[in-house]
Amino acid sequence: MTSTTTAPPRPFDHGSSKGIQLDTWLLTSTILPILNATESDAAQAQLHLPLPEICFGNNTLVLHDSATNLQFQWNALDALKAVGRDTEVKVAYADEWARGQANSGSADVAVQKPFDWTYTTVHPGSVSLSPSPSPTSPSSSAPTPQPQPPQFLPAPPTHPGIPLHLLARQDIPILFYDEIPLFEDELGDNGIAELVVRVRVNSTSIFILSRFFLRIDNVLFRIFDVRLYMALGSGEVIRESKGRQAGYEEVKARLPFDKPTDLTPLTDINWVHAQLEALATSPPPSAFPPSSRPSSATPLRHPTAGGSTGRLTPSASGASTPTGRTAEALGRMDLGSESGGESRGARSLPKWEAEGVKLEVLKLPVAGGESN
Amino acid sequence: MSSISSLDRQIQQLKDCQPISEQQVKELCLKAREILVEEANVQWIDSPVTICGDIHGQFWDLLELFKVGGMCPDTNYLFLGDYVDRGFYSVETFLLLLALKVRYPDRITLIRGNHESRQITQVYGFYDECLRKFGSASVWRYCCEVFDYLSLGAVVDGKVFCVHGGLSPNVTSLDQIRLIDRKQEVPHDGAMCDLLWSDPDDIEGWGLSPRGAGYLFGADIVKTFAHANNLDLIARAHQLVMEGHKLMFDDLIVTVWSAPNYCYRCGNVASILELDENLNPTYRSFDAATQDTRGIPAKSTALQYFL
Amino acid sequence: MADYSQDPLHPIAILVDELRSEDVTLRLNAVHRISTISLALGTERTRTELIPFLLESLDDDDEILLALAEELGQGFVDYVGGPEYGHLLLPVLEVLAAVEETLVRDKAAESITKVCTSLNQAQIEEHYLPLLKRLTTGEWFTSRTSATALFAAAYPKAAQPTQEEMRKMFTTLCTDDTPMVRRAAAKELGAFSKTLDHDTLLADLLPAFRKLSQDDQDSVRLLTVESLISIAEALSNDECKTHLGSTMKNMVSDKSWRVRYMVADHFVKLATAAGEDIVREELVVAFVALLKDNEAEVRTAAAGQIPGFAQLVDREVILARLMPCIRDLSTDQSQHVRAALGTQISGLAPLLGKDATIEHLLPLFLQLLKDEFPDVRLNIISKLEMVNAVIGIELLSKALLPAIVQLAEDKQWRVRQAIIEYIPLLAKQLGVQFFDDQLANLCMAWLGDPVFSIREAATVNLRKLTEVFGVDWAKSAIIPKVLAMGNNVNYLFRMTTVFAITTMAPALDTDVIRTSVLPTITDLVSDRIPNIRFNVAKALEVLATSLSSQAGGNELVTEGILPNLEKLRNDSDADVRFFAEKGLATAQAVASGEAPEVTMSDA
Repeated sequence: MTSTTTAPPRPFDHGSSKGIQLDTWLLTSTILPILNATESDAAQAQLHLPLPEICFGNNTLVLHDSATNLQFQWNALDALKAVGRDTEVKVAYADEWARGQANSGSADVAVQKPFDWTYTTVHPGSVSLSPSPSPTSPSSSAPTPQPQPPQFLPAPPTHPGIPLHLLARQDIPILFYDEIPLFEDELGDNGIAELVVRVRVNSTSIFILSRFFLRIDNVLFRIFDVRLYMALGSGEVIRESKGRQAGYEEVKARLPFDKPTDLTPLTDINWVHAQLEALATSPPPSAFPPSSRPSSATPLRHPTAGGSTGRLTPSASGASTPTGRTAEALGRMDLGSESGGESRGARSLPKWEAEGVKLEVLKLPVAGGESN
Repeated sequence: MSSISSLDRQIQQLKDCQPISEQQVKELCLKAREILVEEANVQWIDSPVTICGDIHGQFWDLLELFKVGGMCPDTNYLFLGDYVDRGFYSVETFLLLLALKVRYPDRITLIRGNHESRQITQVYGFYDECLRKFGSASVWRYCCEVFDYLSLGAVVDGKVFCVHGGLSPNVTSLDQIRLIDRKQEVPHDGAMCDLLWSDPDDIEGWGLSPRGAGYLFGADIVKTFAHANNLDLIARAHQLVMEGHKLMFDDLIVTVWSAPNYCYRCGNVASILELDENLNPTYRSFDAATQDTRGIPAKSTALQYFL
Repeated sequence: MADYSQDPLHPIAILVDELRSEDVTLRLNAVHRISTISLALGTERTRTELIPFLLESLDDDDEILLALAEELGQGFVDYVGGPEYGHLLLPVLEVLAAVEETLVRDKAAESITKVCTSLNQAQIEEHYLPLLKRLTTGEWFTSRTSATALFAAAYPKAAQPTQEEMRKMFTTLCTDDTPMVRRAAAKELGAFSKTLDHDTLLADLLPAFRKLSQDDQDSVRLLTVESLISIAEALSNDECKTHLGSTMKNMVSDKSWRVRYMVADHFVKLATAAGEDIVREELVVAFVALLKDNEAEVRTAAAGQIPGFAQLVDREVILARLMPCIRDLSTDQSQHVRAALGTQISGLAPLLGKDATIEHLLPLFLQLLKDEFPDVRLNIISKLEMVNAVIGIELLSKALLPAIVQLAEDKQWRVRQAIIEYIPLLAKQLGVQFFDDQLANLCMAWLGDPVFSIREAATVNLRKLTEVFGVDWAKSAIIPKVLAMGNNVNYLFRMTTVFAITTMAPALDTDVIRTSVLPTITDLVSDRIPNIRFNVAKALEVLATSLSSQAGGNELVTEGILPNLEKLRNDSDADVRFFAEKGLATAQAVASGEAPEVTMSDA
């Protein structure tokens, strides 16, 4: 099978797992129910971490190359291994709560098992060498010593990066698309932390986006994106990692100026992503905040304009995302009497090492002795 | 008599997933408050009773629950809260349960979950749904007023304590719960908040949530509380479990979860806990109703071109 | 434009106010009331003020635009002054037909088509055609996509030269550079083809269709399947063979499974339209290929077409060509394929006749009844009726009974329910002896099922059995067992006894009620569980109703039922009192000789 070269792309679907064979690359996504009690107890013991409320621990995305035995894999447990042991981040009303606790005489109660409850993970996906595609859970793959896979190395400054202009072209048909949720936690109804991997394949390339999204109401937003791109015949895999965070108020201040009270966008991951991106790449908010709506001079959105998704387009995260006007409530939830007059930027953000962009390249090893 | 027959008609209409008029909601909520105001913070109920956990607006799955457990009033029910948010039919779900409560106050008990709150419902869907289905927030407002009157817990035959979240460091006896002035929005701290929010955990004693608000409690806490109050079992909801129910701490506390395939994608089964006339427990599990896929937004092809 | 800002109560001023509101719900409500507003304005001011205002207000949320597109298509022509002014709606809709959001565009195109029906030839030439031209040549694919949907409605109304121009415009769209436009054209081609006469269809549209059917994008090709059917319907059998035969062949062997799926899913329609010659010569082979397709989705779709297609061919062809494929499908690796086969396979029985059904289909039924996937089992059971009609219940039950008994204990309660619903029919055909030996225990076991709905169905089953075998049989075979459950320590069993009595009451006579039922019921009047007691009250009401039409019924109501209800009306439980009062009213009417209105027990 290693010498398959020009076979046409072949999508397949076996119920819980589906995928596509593209040249020597086999992509398989597996979507199953959340972990059962036995599985989640085992995972919890292994990770020393309370699992997220909704943990799709059996979901995987595996990309395997039969020519080089190189394998990339995404799954919840690998990603959760990268979650920290602690965090300085607290929910918005933590101070108020602590005061109440002190007054009620339970002040001595402390955190017994600290961990980063925001589930922030910067896991870029696992890379290994494996003779056949193995969507095994990470726990079982530990003991056997395996040959070291090739490494991602920093891309040379001249490297053009992932060709997003090509990926933006909607006239290139997509042969396979899937969205694999890995975990989700509503943070005790204080926001959301979720990790979702998406993949799309056209006849010449494979593109994967693993996105961690965090919203803590009235505290902060955080996104960690890992993009992996492989063009057939290029001999390399490109990986871009990008961490962004910003204060809740900072993002809120960027709401469209003509509708400053409609907070719906704050629950729209794509909108928040655009704002975090803008905040990271441009100077601090000017007097003229950019609008996501077209100005009145160009009354209609053009298909190529992109960006603003219409109300009728279901949001990427589907059912769980509050739509419509719910987000307005996020604003109303400001606990009125909160201290700290100058709200914007007044609350300092926690330091986060993952902020910034990193571009790496993995050179594919030449297939061993194959000549085709 | 005529009000009973009009109520019976409303129940039938709601069972068909047809919302009732805003005026009818207003009257229903008013009557519900009159009934609920008479109930204790910890409502005493008799066995046999069937205990149900979170429903979260999964209306068709609630009907499935009734098919498995029997319809009210033939079967007595105790719902542990979180009727609304996240699912697509919070309005129909809560109003059906409320109409049953008003029609058969002795046959069904509804206690408060952390989602029965103004703040939470504005973020997680119920507020939105009311606005969408009635064109104004009045129905949401009427329902929120009812939320404030819901009991905080129940105790079956004096032996099984039922609550949405868990215990509180400020509550060592059931009598202390009876002292709370519950007719208010769920506060951010204090005993009332804890009962609706706290979770059992494999720790000793009380722990603080790493989030900076909320309590966790260990097996020793549960044992002490059960012993002090002469309880056989504590039944609570609040946390998703794949199998629909989960016993902990030598079977002294159980989590019951009644929303199958939660959020229409978790793939979990749901459970209800049937306590017979001698308090013998039987857990009945059920799968999601097939109808519940309707109303779920279809994926647009534009999504496939993500960057 | 009139200055309405001076008068704050002016309908337009209010509308403007609301349409400018920040609250999207307010804006949405305003749009939905737009016909009321125009009614208040009158037709002239609707034309001169409202329409121009709308044209300026088209920069809004998609939700609002969608509502506007919809409203303008709902008889709005009347509000601008009737058909002669109908074209005035076109400019607004034209803008909406070019926006980014597909839902808005589709709705706008739909409304334009509706407006079009009220236009006359002159309006078509003067207003509609220019619109069509602008959209067809629009810079963005959105407007060109919308344009494809606007031809069919206007074409019959246009003058001949215009018609020719329209055909040209449409064929241009069929070769558009953007796949989205070609996709839309492929989708609309069928409807448009219906409006063309035979010769122009062959001369102008057929080449365009052929091109689309060979498009390099499978998403375009798959949309030509339905157009193919429309065109085939307009052509004679011979013409189909000449002009469409090769296209059909290509579709069945298309390299994209999506296209093959589309063909498979529409196969019966396609075959019907193509005519029997092609069916015999080409389509049997094609259908067999689809049944053997590599992709499960294609096989599932093809399996759904089996009985429909079998109707179009001879019995010999079914047996020789289709049956081998069907046998393979019954062991297909995909559960969805087997489930689809499960719903369809019974439809072959009437076509095959008794002997062939026994020989060929029964073994497959047996196998599918044991399938590990519950939907497959359920689908087979729910369609057994058709087979029964062909081969008779005796053969059916002998062959299938063991499998049915197994399913009676299925893990999935819906499978058990399907079996229960089938029992009375089975019983009727099998006779008492066979039933008592084989199925009686099963029927009693269901009364103790853990699932409420099954217990309920089990009681209904008992009533139906009583109707089949008679009261005497019930008296000895089931009533003692049912009543014995009334002493069970578990209240759920006692409850089932009460339910069973309530359900069976209409099938019972005075004697059984007096000697067997009432003694048990009287005991249950003082049950410690209130739910039992109010269901006893309900049961007593139903018993009273059914006694009213029987000899000696009135007396039995007075002696046996009224005293129990009197006791229950003083119960400590409010629900017991409620249902006792209700029952009492009915029972008293019966006792006094009035025929009570038949009250339904709770649904």
